[in-house]
Formats: sequence, structure tokens, C-alpha cells
Amino acid sequence: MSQKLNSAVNEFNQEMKPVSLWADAWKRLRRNKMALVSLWVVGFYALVALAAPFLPLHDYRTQTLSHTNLRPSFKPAGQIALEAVEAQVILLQERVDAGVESLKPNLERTLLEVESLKAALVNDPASKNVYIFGTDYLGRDMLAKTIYGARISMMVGLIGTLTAVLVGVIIGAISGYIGGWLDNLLMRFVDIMYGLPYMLIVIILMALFRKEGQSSIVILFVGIALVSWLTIARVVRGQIISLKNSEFVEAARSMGAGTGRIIFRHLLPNALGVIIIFTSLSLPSFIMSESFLSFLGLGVSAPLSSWGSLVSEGANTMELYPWQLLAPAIEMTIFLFCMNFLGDGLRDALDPQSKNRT
Amino acid sequence: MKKSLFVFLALLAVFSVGAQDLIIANGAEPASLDPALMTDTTSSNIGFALNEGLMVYDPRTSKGIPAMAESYSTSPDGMVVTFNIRKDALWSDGTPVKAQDFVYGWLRTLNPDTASEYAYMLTMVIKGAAAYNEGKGPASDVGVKAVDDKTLQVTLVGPAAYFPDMTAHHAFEPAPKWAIDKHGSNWTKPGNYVGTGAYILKEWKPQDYILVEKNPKYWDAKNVKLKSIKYLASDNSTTNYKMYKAGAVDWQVGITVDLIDEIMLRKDYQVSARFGTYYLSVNNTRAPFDNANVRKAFAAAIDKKTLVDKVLKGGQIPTDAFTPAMVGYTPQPGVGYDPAAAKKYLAAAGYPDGKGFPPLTYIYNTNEGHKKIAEYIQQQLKTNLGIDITLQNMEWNAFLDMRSKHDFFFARHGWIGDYLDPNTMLDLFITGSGNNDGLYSNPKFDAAIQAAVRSSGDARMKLLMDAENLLLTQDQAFIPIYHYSNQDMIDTNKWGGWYPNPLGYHPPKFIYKK
Repeated sequence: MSQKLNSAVNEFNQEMKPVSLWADAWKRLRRNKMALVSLWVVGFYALVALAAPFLPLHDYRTQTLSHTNLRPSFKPAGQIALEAVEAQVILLQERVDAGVESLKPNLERTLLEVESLKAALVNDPASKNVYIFGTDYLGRDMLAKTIYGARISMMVGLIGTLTAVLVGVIIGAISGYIGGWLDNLLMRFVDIMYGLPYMLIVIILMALFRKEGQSSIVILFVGIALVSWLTIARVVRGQIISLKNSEFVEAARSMGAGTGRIIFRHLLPNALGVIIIFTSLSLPSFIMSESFLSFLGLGVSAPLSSWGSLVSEGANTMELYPWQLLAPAIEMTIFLFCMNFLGDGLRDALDPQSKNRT
Repeated sequence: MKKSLFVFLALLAVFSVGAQDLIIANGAEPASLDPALMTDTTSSNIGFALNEGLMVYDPRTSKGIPAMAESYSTSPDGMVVTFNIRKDALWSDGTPVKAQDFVYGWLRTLNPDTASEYAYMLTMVIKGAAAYNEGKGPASDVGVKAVDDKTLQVTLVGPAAYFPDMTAHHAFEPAPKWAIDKHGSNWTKPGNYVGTGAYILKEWKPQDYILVEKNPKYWDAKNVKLKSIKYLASDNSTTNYKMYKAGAVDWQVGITVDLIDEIMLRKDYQVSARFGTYYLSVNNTRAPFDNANVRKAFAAAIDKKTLVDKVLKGGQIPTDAFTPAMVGYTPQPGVGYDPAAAKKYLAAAGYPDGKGFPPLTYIYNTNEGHKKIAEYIQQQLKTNLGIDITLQNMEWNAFLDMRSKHDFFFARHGWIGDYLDPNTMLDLFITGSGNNDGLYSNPKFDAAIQAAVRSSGDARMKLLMDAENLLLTQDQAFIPIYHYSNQDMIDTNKWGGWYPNPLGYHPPKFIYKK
């Protein structure tokens, strides 16, 4: 046991492993059932999103035009398509019998489609496809689309959150702890960035950097990263200012700790709760702002999609084909819920003030 | 107190709803209300309320019927047309409408400084107009003359029998010189606007709505039934359709492709063939589209029939040509769907299997229907040619601006005829035409069109067919997709005076509530 130089000793003079902040937090997180389930779910999402190219999915780009707007089912697509078209034939027949001449060509075409679908049941391997989430308006698999949409949305959330935490926390902490002219300078810069409308920044970036034939997704990431850290920088600065004159900081300073050590070892762990709450709350807002940009044509463009663009497409056909809205919306809602629970759990686990609570 | 306030508000609500007789979901925000500058159907729908030319489109047939002109006569050789303007025709500010106002309006459209995209429509038929428009001739040589206050004489380049029909178009409307001199480009704002139409511009909230009210000074005011009309600006056709279903909109221009399976079963869905074509504009002056083989490869790689049958389902007709079939005119065959031929064309252009093809963006204006077509085309090009393209949607005005400045490679385009004659389609592609966004230019094509103006009857149709053959089979100046259909949501049991017609123009002066 002598090799364990760093080992500590408890009140019964027994050797024990020192418990780091993270190990302690992990122990407490494990006790929180909701957070643990959420962690598993988020992990599962991340795994599926990462492994998407290797999963046995239909290609999210393939358009099977005889299979448009199919409802979710475990039955082969050819059969579902046939049922849907036969139902449409009955509706059309009713209207034609009621004397609507203009629908006759539609009826004839739909009858032909019934024939070709019947033939396809035998000949066409595509008619054996199973779409458990249904298909969209061009006969693409909704399951594959939502999974590939998750990749983009989670990436947007991740990039936004990472820059927010890295840049925002560092700038906020430095500005709050050092104060004076540096604080003034940094915070006025943040004010200026706040003053610029977010949309304008993205549009200017697009105009400057966009190339013919290039997808705008990279510019979108840069745009989101540019503005994501502003709020958190202010929040952290406030926290640091309120903590920097407390006794434990005094103590650290009197023992000769440097600025960096005080900020990163003493002040930030105490501000962690706020940072984590803010991060878990801002992740959904990044996903939302991406969907808004996509809607304006500044975000992802086809054949790529994101949860936001899938939901806005699905909302258009909500009454007729509800699964086109529900599949991405439910997937997205579950993810955001889990992120919130996980954020909650992490805050409880990491907050030094809650150490004595069980 | 609270109760009386509530009653007051309720009354106010009732009155403000009852104040508009007809509410139209008109699509996007109009680009301009200046008759010389409007080019899109969104603007021109409103233009039909605010202004009237010598003729007006017949709501049933789309042919011209006398409006500001009481009558007209054509000289025996067909070269000179004389219009007699109504004695009781007044501008909305009470000034009598004079022949001079037409001369001013037409010369204004032609003036190179106005930069009207429709100037070519006048230059194709009116003598001396082309020279003036190009800055090579004086305005006084243009063949339009006010003989007296109420007589307008027009000298044509050739015996164009369709000329009177053409004058129903906005480019041939008179212009109020006094208002334009006073307000400059602000003359199209509410309060400044002076028009000859059955309605006056009352309110304009950009991106929201335009409100027009009945013009009491209009010559035919006693036959104008609707007191006011509201044109809503919203390019989300799903929202428009929901408003229509909820009764908040009386007439939806266009439909939402998403819900076509439901819409086609409705009684108030109006569908009819339309004299126009949906096509993909390619910039003929930029690589890779400066190579006819690339253009042909694209044309042969897109299966238009499947698109129309399986996705659009709204009465459109897939086409490889531009001019729809009409009496005496057979559409040209063009390049049809053939993936094998498409690959050969692309290889001949130096990009076998799409290798080395430069990155390309397809632009379209924001709309669910255009989006579906764009995604379909993207996938067709990928499957049949191995080419990846990026899609980009844009706001309507920004899109029009980019396209008309020729600052694009590959763009959505659609063209609705302005009168029922092949010329309204083919004139688009003459060199220098304001709507020739793809900058197609072939002197042989120009010469054939010019020759057609000077001839008549079957010989003229033959010349035009040859021209279209040149345009498509040889040069493939653009990629045709389908002929439009008129698709509107309006209950014709409730609204009279609204009929399906080939051009899809519905001058509101004829519409009434049954």
C-alpha cells in the first residue's frame, strides 16, 4: 500500500481513495433514477446517430414514388400502398358518380396505379420494404430521415453548447474575476454582439462565405457558435463577482494560489450549477434556432434534414399524414426531455452546496 | 362599463370583418404595383383591380374585351390600329383619361431608364419601339400617337392580329404623368396612387395585406359589385388553405400540393388547363450550362410524367416543349425523358458519369410545392447523371431580383402567357428580352420570331414552330417540366363572375357575391 502516495486517511485511520469532484458527482447521479434513465436514452440517441450509416436502414435519399405518404406499419409497403390507393379510388368514384367530370382523369390514373401496384407486389422487390415510421411525400423512409435528422440537430446542439461553455465560461470568469478595464472591454464587446441581430450575422456570413453548390451547414454552425456564448458569459461573470470576495477565495489567495488556479479550481466548480442549468436549457434553443434558419433557407437543405425541418414539413400535412409530424416531433421531444432531466440531475450531482442532501 | 366595452369591441369586430367583401390569399408579397414594372402574377392580380388598359381580359375566355377603349378599328393591311377611348373614362382622382396618358404610359414602359422587364412586349409589335428602347431612336418615332384627346393610333411592325388582345396587359396601361412627376417612385403608395381601375389602393401593409376599395369615378362603377377587396400576402399555401377552410379567406390563389389528395375531392377546388409552362431556367452564358449538351443531359434526365402523376396530381401536363398546344400550333417534340441518352449527352459535354461536374446550386422561391419539385429534380439528377446539386430557397422578391440580374446558374422558373398566342411564350427568349433570365441568344431564333411578326396565318405559325424547334431541339435553352394548370380554391356557388380561363386572370370588376 505504500505505493499510494496520494492516498488519504479517514477518521478511523484507514487508508481510503480520495474522492474527486467527478467521482462524487457520478455517485450521486447514479442515485437519481430519472437522470440515469435520461442518460441512457441520450446515450442511445448518440449511438444510433453515430452508427446510422452502418444500421440496416433504407437510404434516406431514395425516392420510391409508388410509396408516397404511406402510414407507419410492419406490413410490406406494397400492400399498404395498395390499400391507400384503393381507398382513394372509392372516394374518387363517389365524386365522379356525383357528376364531377374533372376528376375522371384522376380516377383513371388511380385505377392504373392499382394495377401497377398489384403487379409490383409480385415483381418489384421494393414492395417488400417495411417502413415502421411510414414514408414522406416523395416516398422516402421516415425512420431513416428522422435518424439522419437527429445527426444534424444533435450536432447543432452540441456545437452551440460546446462553444457556449468553452468560450462563454472562460470569458465570463476572466471578466468577472479580474474586473476593471478588462471587464469593461469584454462586456461591452458582448453588448455589441447582443445588439447585432442574430439573423443579420448569419445572413452576412452567408453572403461572404457561401460558394456555389456548397451546403450552408458549416456557415450555420459558425453563426450559432458566434452568438451562443454571450448569455452564459454574462451569467458566469455575475456568479464569479458574487463569489470572488468570499472566505474560501480569500483563503486560497492568502496561501498563494494564482489567478488561474483560483478561477478554475475554486470559483468555477461553485458556479457549475448555473452553468449546467444554462447549458441544458440552451441546447433546445439551439435546435430551435436551427429549425427556424432552415425554414428561411439559411440552414440545412435537402436531401439533408434536421428535426426542425422535418417538423415544419410534417406540420403542413398534419391532418392527412400525421406520422410525418409525429415521428420527428416525438423523437425530438423525448430527446429534449431527457436533456432537461439529465441537466437537472447533473446540477444536483455537481453542486457543492447540495453535498449533504441525499 | 366592461360589458359595454365588450359589446363595442364585438361590434367593431363584426364591422371590420364585414368591411371586406372579398378576401383573397394571393400568395407572396407583390413585387411592385407600378404597371410598367410588375412581372409576377402576384402583383398583376392586384394590378387588375387598380388599373385598366384599352382592353380587359374576358373572365371566361381570356381574350381582350373593350375597357378604356370603347371600340377600335384596324386598317385594311392590319398595320394601323385606332382605339376610341371612352368619353366617360376618368382617373381615380377625377381627371379624364386621355389618349396622351396612354402615349406617356407606353413610352414610359419603353424608356430604357424605366428598365421595364416587359418593354420587349411593346418592342415586338410597335413600330420604332425597339429602337427607342435600345436607345437608338427618338421617342417621337415610336408608332403610338394621340390623334386627339380620345383617339389613340398605333402603328405596328406587322399585321399582328393578336395586338388588341395584348393591350389588356399591364405593360399597355396608361400612366398618370402628374402623379409620377410629383411623387417619383413613391407614386404607388396608398394616397398617391392614381389608377384607371375599378378599385383604388386604400392600404398597403408590407408582408401583410393590401386593401383596395371601390372607385366611385370608374366609368362602369354601377356594375362593380364588391365594395372592397383584401389581398393577403402569405407564401405559405398550407396556412392559406387552413384559413380558406376556416372561412377567413374567400379565394385562395393556388393550392397546397401537400394536401392534394384531400383537395381534389372538394367541390370548391377549381382546376383547368392553363396557358403557361413551369420550367427550369439555366444560365446559358455560364459554365457548365453554356454547353448545349449539358442542358440536353438535364432535360433527358428528368422524368416529368412521374413527377406530375405521383407528386403533383393537380391537372398539370408534363411537357418537353414550351408553348402549349393551340389552334394551328403543334407543340414541338423537344428532348424527352431518356436516362441513357442523358448519360451520353453528359459524356459528350466532357463529364462522363457526372465526373468533374462543377458544384451547382438550384434556387427556388420558398413554397412547399416548389420544394417538392426541387427535391425530386435533385434526386433525378443524382440517379440518372450522378450529379449532386444543392438546393436553396429564397424569399420571393430576393429570388426575382437574383434571377432577373442573371446572377444564378440554375433556377426555378414559370411563365404564364399574357395573351392567347404562341408569341407570348416564344418572345421571352429573344435576345435582350427583359424576362430572358437565362440569357439565351441565337440570332437565327430572333430572326424567325421577327419574320413571324411580319407574316400572318399558317405561314406565321410555321415560322414560330420552327423557332421553337430551334429553341428546344437544337439549343435546349432551358428545361421544360410541365404546362401549368389553374388551381384555385373558391366556391363558385357563392361567388359569381369567376370562371376558369386559360390565362388564369380574373379581373375583380366582374366578381360578385351571389
